[in-house]
Amino acid sequence: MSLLSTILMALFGLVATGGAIAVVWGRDPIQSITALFVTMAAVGLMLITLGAYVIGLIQLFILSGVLFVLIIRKAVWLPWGERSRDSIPSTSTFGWILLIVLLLMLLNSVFQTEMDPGMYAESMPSAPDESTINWWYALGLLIILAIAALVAMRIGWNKSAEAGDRGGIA
Amino acid sequence: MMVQIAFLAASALVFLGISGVILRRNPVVMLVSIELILNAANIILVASDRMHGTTDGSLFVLLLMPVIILEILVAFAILIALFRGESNADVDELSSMSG
Repeated sequence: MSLLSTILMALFGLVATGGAIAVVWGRDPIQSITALFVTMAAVGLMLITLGAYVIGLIQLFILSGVLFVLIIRKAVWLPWGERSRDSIPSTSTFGWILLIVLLLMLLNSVFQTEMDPGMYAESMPSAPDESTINWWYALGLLIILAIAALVAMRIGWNKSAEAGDRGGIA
Repeated sequence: MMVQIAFLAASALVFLGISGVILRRNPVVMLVSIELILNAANIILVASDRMHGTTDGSLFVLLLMPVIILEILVAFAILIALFRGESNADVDELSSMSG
C-alpha cells in the first residue's frame, strides 16, 4: 500500500470528521445539510481509496450529489427564517466542490500507480490485468466527474441568475 | 494503516452522529446526524472487506444505500408536512404524531 493512499485516506477522514462536527454544531439546518454533503463526499472518496469504486461513486453522486441538490432545493421553502435562507449555498458551489473532487481523483489515479483494482475486479473470474483496469477506471472516473461538474456548474449559473432576479434565494 | 484510519474516521462519525441525535432538538439536524452514523456503517463494512479480503460487507452496503435514500426522502417529506408554516422547528414541541 502506497504512502499516498494512506495520506489521502487520512485527508479524506479529516474532511469527513470536520464535516460531521459542522453537521452537529451548525448554526441552522441548512448549514448542517451542506456539511453533510461534504462529509458524504469525503466518505465516498474514502470508499474509493479503499478499493470499492462502485460503492464510492454511488456515494459521491447519488447520496451526496443528487440528494444534496434535491434536499437543498426543497429546504428553500421550509419556513426557518430569513437567516436560514441567506445561508443556502448556490448550486454553482456544488459544481466547484465537484471540480475539487475531480482534481483529488486526478491526483489519486495518476500518482497512485499501484492502485488496487478493487474487490469487484478481484472477484471476477476474468478480471483484466491490474494496470489496465486501473487506468480504465481512472479514465472513466475522470470523464464522469468532469461531465457532472460541468452540468452542475451550468445548472448553478442558470439558477443563480434566476435567483438574483427573485431576490437572492438560490 | 489505511484500514485503521478508516476505522478511526468511522468511529468519529458514529460518536458525532450520536452526539447530534442526543444534543440537538432540530429534527433536520437529528436526521442528518443519523446519516452520519449510516455513513460510518458504510466505511466500516467496506474497510472490513478490505481487511479480510471478502465482498460480503460491500453487498450489505449496496443494500444499505437504497435504505438510506428512502429514509432521507420519507423523513424529509414527513418533516416538511409537519413543520410547514411553523416559524420554529423543535421536536420537543411536536405532538401531532403522538399516539
